Amino acid sequence: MNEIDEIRALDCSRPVELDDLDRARDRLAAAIDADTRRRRRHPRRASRHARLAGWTKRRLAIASGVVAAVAVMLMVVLLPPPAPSRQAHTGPFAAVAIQPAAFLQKAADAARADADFVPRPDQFLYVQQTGYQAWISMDGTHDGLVDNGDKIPTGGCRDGEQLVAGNYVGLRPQPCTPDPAYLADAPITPTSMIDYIVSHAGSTNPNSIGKEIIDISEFHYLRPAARAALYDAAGRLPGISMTATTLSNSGKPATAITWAFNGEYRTVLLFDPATYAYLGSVTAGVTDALKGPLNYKTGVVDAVGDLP
Amino acid sequence: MSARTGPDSDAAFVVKSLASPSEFQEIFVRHARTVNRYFARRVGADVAEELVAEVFLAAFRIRDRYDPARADVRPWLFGISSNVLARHRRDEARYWKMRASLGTEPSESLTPADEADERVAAQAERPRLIAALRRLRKVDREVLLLFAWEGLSYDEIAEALGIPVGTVRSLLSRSRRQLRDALGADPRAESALPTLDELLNGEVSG
Repeated sequence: MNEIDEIRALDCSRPVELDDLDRARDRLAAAIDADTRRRRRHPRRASRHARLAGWTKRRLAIASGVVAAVAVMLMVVLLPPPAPSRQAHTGPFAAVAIQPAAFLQKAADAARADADFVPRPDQFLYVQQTGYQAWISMDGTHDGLVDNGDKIPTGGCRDGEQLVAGNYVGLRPQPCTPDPAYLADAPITPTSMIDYIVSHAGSTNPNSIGKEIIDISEFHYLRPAARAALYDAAGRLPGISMTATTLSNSGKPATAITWAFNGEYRTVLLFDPATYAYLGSVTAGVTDALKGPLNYKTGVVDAVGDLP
Repeated sequence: MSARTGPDSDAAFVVKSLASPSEFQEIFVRHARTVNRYFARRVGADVAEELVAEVFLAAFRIRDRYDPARADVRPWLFGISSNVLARHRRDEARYWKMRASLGTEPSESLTPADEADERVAAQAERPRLIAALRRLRKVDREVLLLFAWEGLSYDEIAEALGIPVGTVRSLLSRSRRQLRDALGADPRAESALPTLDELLNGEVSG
């Protein structure tokens, strides 16, 4: 007997039947039910979930590889800027005056100065990050594509149905509500934007709020006033923190915005500290360095496969 | 165990559950018993079901992170289980302590009569073995027990714990050596060890 056999001989567990795990199964069923009900209330979140499949896969692959000894992240907590002087929001986060507000205010100002453009319904929002490209229908009714190495069609929602595809499940019709990339109804004031974010997140949990901000920011087309409102609103939300960082494999400085969460990974919004331009977002282990460049690019194109 | 592939694979159900959450029930049906046994071995049957629920709730919540290229969901579930277990270290420590205090009490599992002699020898070693396992670093113990109890391959352990395969090999080699040292060198045991080539080629499934 070697030590592996001896360890096996220590095993005194007994197999159980599925029926013996009813309580665990009931808890999962309750979570599934709650998720299903939430999807009915917020259909845009549901389709986001499908879209994020490839996106997060790529990110976590990157995150899990971030161990290089040379990757020294210089996380320097910035001194808190003066509390914002503007009037506080009177909604669920009325009392919040957080550190990154001043920076995000400048990012908002920069976004507001971008050229205004109203896309056509048949156009696509193109989104690129390292290893990931997506063409997302502006009105949600045209067939798009996610390319993360695998080419995953994203069916447009027409007449209440869309073809949901995956490498393993083939094309299957699913009930849907169109999820347009162009958020024509996005608020243009930070106060209204906070309500909008919370409404779509379906929660006031900072982690849910943060994910919603990323979803709106990266996978939707916002006109300049709305994007400015988004950044401004992000600065007023609780649990947000800001750090100055250096992207480990490019040496470029970046300002990282993240939020309170529970888990082994954090998702971080990155901005250029000089121009306040949005550089994209990255998911990394809690103690991992942030890698760059992200090769983030976005634009409006006429057809799937076109590049801006 | 060979993983199902194609539309019947675990990955297919995880992917489907992104659009249709109830599809995730199939993952529970297929793997809840395996996950339960993992915890029963580590914290005892009484606590296991609670942790099984935690694992599947977490898996459901983060299913959009699942890599659909991996047909078999078990390494992913073991990775989550390992994290859940880490949050219940006291339960695990209590269980190991209890196991050690049982001394040479026979295992509940049944063994063929012709293995009785070896079983007696193993029972006699039990307190030393348990003590040695308790002394291992957490990651060493995790790798060792995923290999010995759950039957995961090196690749699967690497995937579950998010570490390189080479690290799995070295951790496993080190923890086995520590156990052998603790139990005292036994020529018969040495001869039963896999060769270096077998280890490097991952031909030893346990």
